[in-house]
Amino acid sequence: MSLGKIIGRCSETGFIYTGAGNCPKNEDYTVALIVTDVNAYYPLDSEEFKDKIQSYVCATNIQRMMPIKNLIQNEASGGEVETNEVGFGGIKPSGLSSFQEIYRVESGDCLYKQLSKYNGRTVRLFRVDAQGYVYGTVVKRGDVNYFAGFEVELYSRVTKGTDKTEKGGIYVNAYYKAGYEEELKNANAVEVGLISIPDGLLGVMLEKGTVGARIIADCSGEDLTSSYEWKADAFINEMGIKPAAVSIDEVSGDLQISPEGSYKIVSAEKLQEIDIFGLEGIGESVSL
Amino acid sequence: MRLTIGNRWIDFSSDVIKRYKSKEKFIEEISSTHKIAEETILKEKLSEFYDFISAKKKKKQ
Repeated sequence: MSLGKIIGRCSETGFIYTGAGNCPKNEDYTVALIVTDVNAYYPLDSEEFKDKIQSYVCATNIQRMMPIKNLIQNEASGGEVETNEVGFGGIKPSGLSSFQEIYRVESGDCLYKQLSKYNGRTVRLFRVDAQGYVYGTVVKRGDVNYFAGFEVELYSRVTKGTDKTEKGGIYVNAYYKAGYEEELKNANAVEVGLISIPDGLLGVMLEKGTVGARIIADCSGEDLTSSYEWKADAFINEMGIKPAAVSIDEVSGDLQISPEGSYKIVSAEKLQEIDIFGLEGIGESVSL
Repeated sequence: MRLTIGNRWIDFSSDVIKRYKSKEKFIEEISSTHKIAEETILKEKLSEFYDFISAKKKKKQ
């Protein structure tokens, strides 16, 4: 008798339950993506996840989520069963081929400039399907199970328009990692609802106007002064002190900030506290 | 904290009263920058606003 055992895993499987139930859910096409750091983990409790999803977008730590909305096309490839045939052994499945998906995003060159910063980076990706479910996987760290995105390498590209009918577009290529099959076995979905999926942040800055200040989107230069209800708490000077008062000049539409000084717009986290969502102050202070 | 006159407003930081040495200084400085109404009306409303906020603060203490 020889010593030692090599125990297979078939006994661990136990019974396989193949009932379908009355309300089976299939992941629908992806309408939004949420990019996170590769080491970002979230609560598995669906209520807690739903409650906190908006705050994760503004988080100043590793848990920050970066949603990409306005997806208009998914194109998947790979993920097929791979087989091999050696000698007279017949065909044997050996696993899934590597999976990649290309997401077309309806947006402009400014978004591309931001997304290209991910190129070649390994991140995690939550997929939001057309029914408002956030799909990811379960990872175990220590004794705790967490909800996390699928591990992917991202690479974005932009195309220009070619004629009157073919407009340019942004394509986000997601190359899923070798562990994707395992991630799918541990897949988890939380029904957040499409209306509750937060918007990605837009970087905004102050610019000197005719008599006061304007709020301008970084890159596009879009003027957002009249698009939000600005409050004194939205600004700080170089010492971190808020202005005493803010109003809108009737003639120019400029923001009047007093006392005079150099100001900038606060972080997304602070803006959210005064009900301004989807923006984050960037750039240096501007003398007003 | 917001003072609204008609459809125009001035938004104040929560510590605005503390920043000015006197009510007169507050009215003078705010009304010179934030001209959201005719001067006399604006000064009158700023005065009422100052009194209201000061009373509120005292009550809290």
